[in-house]
Amino acid sequence: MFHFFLFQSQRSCTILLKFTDVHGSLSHGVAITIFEELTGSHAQKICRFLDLHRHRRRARVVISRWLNAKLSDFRRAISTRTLSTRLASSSKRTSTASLEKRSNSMNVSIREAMERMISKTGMSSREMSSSHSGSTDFEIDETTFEITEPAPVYSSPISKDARRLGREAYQAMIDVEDDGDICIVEKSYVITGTSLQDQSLIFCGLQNLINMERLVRNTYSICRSLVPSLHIIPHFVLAR
Amino acid sequence: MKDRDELLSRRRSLLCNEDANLPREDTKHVVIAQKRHAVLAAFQTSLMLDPSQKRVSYPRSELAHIQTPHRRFVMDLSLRGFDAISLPLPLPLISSEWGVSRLLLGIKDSGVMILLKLLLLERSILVVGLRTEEVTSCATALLELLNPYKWASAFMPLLPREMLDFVSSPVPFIAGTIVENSKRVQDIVRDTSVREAMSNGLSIVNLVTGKLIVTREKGTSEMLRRSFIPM
Repeated sequence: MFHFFLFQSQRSCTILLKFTDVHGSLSHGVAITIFEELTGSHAQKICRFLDLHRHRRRARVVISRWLNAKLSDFRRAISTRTLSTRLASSSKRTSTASLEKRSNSMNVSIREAMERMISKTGMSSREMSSSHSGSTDFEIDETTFEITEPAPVYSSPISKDARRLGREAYQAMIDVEDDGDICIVEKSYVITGTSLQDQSLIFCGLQNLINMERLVRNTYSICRSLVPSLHIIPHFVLAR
Repeated sequence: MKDRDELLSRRRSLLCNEDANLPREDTKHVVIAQKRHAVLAAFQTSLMLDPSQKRVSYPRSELAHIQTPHRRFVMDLSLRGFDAISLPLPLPLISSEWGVSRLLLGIKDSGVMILLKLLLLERSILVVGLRTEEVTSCATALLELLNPYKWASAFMPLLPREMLDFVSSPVPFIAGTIVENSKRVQDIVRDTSVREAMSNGLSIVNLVTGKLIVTREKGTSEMLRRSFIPM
């Protein structure tokens, strides 16, 4: 309820209008644009619809991530096998399983991962080939050999402050999501055909009209919050 | 008189709105719509100056203006939430008083003089500001500056940002556009179409920083410079 009244008092845009017709003559007008929160059954319907779409989008994201992970695993396995085939032919064999594990964990290209593994383990190429002998039971032509593109390596680690801010922002997002959605409506009140001298008068009248409508809406909302079964506005509320 | 009685009776009927047959959710909207129509009808009949009020003008002596009580235009519809309208006479003029004063405060008198010369040369002007009321009133004030002449070309008090390419129009125009913050003004100035238009006669009134960016069109700057030389 507090949010509702807070929003009701937010700013509005005032616009002076002039229209030019095909003959070049000008006609005057005024406009005030306001932003208000939509309440009632229509707002509930819209919020429900938005909520449904959000759930669907989340489901799509989960499915697409799972599918991407599976596809990338499959591609990685294929490229690892092709690479190991080539290595086997050039008597530089290594363990496919360990290579795959390395490439997954370090998120770099297979070639780089293998070079690092060799340098770290200190194994000679002959030893590696002997440990890997007989592990390849398929033959692939070298022309189909492909190497995955090296993934971007983020050299600068994320700072603690950035992590903290990100955590706070995410928490705030979750908290706000618990409050639910609101619908904001942009309304424009336009009066055309005014004279240039009476514009201030029309502006005052239009602003008062907007204030009056806001009061009726607020009164109705208060009455509905007090008496949910209310469907008329008591005349003593509207009468001066 | 008869219209006034009808209006009063209609207003009374609106205030006693107890139609229980109305659907629940639509009641509020129906009441608002009915009251809105009643108020707009009252605007058409009552929200205007009578001939004696139109004749009211500022006294020549400023002292007399301060000392004498001011006449006011008052309209009260006796509706809850609708405050009585009470304005001093003569009515404040938004574009020719507030708009011109805003221009003078923003780009100073020398800038306003250059603007007037550009308008007389029928060159395009783009007013950039942060608030709609500021931009539209200043754009309208440019037309007031031209009096007794009339601006015969296109006039758009508020040009949407998505339609900024309109500045490439060969027809001279007066337009206003809104920016979100002061940094966005530079985005407009650096926009390709705006830069191209500036070389073809477009000038920009920057209400945020109070600067007038005069067109880079060949010949125009020379004409402006010559106009400052006394005869």
